[in-house]
Amino acid sequence: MPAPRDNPVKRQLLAGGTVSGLFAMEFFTPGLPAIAQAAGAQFVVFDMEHSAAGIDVVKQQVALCRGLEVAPMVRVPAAQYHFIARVLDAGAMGVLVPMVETAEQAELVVRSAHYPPLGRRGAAFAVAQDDYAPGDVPGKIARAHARTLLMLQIETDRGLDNLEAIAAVPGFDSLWIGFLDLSNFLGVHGDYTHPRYLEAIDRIVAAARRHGKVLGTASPSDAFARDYHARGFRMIAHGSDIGLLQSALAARIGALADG
Amino acid sequence: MVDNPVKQKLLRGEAAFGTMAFECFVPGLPQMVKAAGAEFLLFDMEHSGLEFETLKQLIAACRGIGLVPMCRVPAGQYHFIARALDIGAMGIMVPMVGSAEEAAHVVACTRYPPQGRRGAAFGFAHDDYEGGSVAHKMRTANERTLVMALIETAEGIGQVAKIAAVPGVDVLWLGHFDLTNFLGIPAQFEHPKYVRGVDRLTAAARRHGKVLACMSADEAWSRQYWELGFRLFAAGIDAHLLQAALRAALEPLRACAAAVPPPARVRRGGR
Repeated sequence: MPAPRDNPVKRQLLAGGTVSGLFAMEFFTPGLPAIAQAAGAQFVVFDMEHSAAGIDVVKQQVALCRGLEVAPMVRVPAAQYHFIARVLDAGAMGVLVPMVETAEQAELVVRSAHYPPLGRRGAAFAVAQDDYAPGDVPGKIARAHARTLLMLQIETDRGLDNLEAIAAVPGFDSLWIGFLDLSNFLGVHGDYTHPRYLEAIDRIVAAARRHGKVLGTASPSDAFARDYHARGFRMIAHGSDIGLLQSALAARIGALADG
Repeated sequence: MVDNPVKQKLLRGEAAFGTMAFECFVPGLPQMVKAAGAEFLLFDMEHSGLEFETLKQLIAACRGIGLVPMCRVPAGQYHFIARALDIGAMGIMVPMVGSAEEAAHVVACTRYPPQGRRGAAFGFAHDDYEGGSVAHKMRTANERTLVMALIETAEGIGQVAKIAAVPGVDVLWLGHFDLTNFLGIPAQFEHPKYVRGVDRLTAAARRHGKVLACMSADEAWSRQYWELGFRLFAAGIDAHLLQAALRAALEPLRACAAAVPPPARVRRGGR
């Protein structure tokens, strides 16, 4: 198998498909990737922004995805080279970057993720990202470039102000919303029906269409997922793992109480 | 539930080669040894301090990459054997098997009733958290588990014919160093006592159709035991393989340094 391996999620998104996955914030256990796959997930986003997971934990989880079909993605804590390049070296097939607010930040993300001449990523081969396989450096560089999925989150007022310029940056694939932070930064805390929030969503959808970017979001509920899928979002991360466990447990407890 | 290609090869009379891990318990280890051509990775719990939490991580990292995870448990006890199987080990190696009763107990620990006495949990690590027929899973689990008895004591060699006769024991694994040690001839692999012991072992395996296995120390050793009919080999131990490769890589550097005269001594001014 050529290394690094292909990213089935990026391939499906580029072909116009919709992909569903899990947003993992807490349960970084040995079985998590296989559990997600057995449930039908096509990818897992491992969160570093809010979970306190470090790259060592991420590297474990990414290694656990190696023989599976689930594509490992990582949300880094911030748009910095040292986070992006290190999670890619650990084998992440996609990087989700929170709070992107300027075109310069978007360009930094793209540069951090790609080897020269496209970017400024330092190189290490025959490590985790290429499954420790020897040889064929030019091929590995081309495949790494082709498989890496770059996702930028628009979730602040400043990100919205610079939305057009950010979306116009070449070399990244997807615009994600951060629904909770977006509502917070717009002053409508958690009100996802507020006109100001909905207008922002419309603007992000329009910008993504205009610049050929895939729309992505995490989704806290069935209704949310259906609503945003209807708006054109094609990459949906269900969860988080915490919320899924809580809601499933609460439903079981409730069923017993009601029975 | 996935099957065990190493056991299938051995049952067909083919050979299988892998390696053993004592030390380098890192997320990439399974893929590294797979990329080097190993068919199985045998994790040691007897001498390494490895515990089940870490082993579960390592076995999960073998999932789907075409590498068979196996475990040497610290002793032939149910609580070790059943737990190693529940986290996905496809083969169990038991040290110091000394009697047919011990061997039969080991087999019973690896099989669900009625063949054995293994407690059941499904939808977890060993069946990849998947749903499906429990009856089918139990059959697959019973079939895929490779049971390896280490013959490495005077008692084990004395009882090897009876141990080999126990149904469900797939492999007689020669623990060559411990065997010499327990025979009072440490590391004397030419000693007649040791050679007679190996003869008894190979004869018992042939009579009962069991696979012969050992650690391969070096090329000459591998050839010698291959000729004796050994077909399952662990090629080295992670820590020693790393040391040997590093030593070999350092040698040419030392040779470079030795080829040039040492720098002239700098004269220090008097104080």
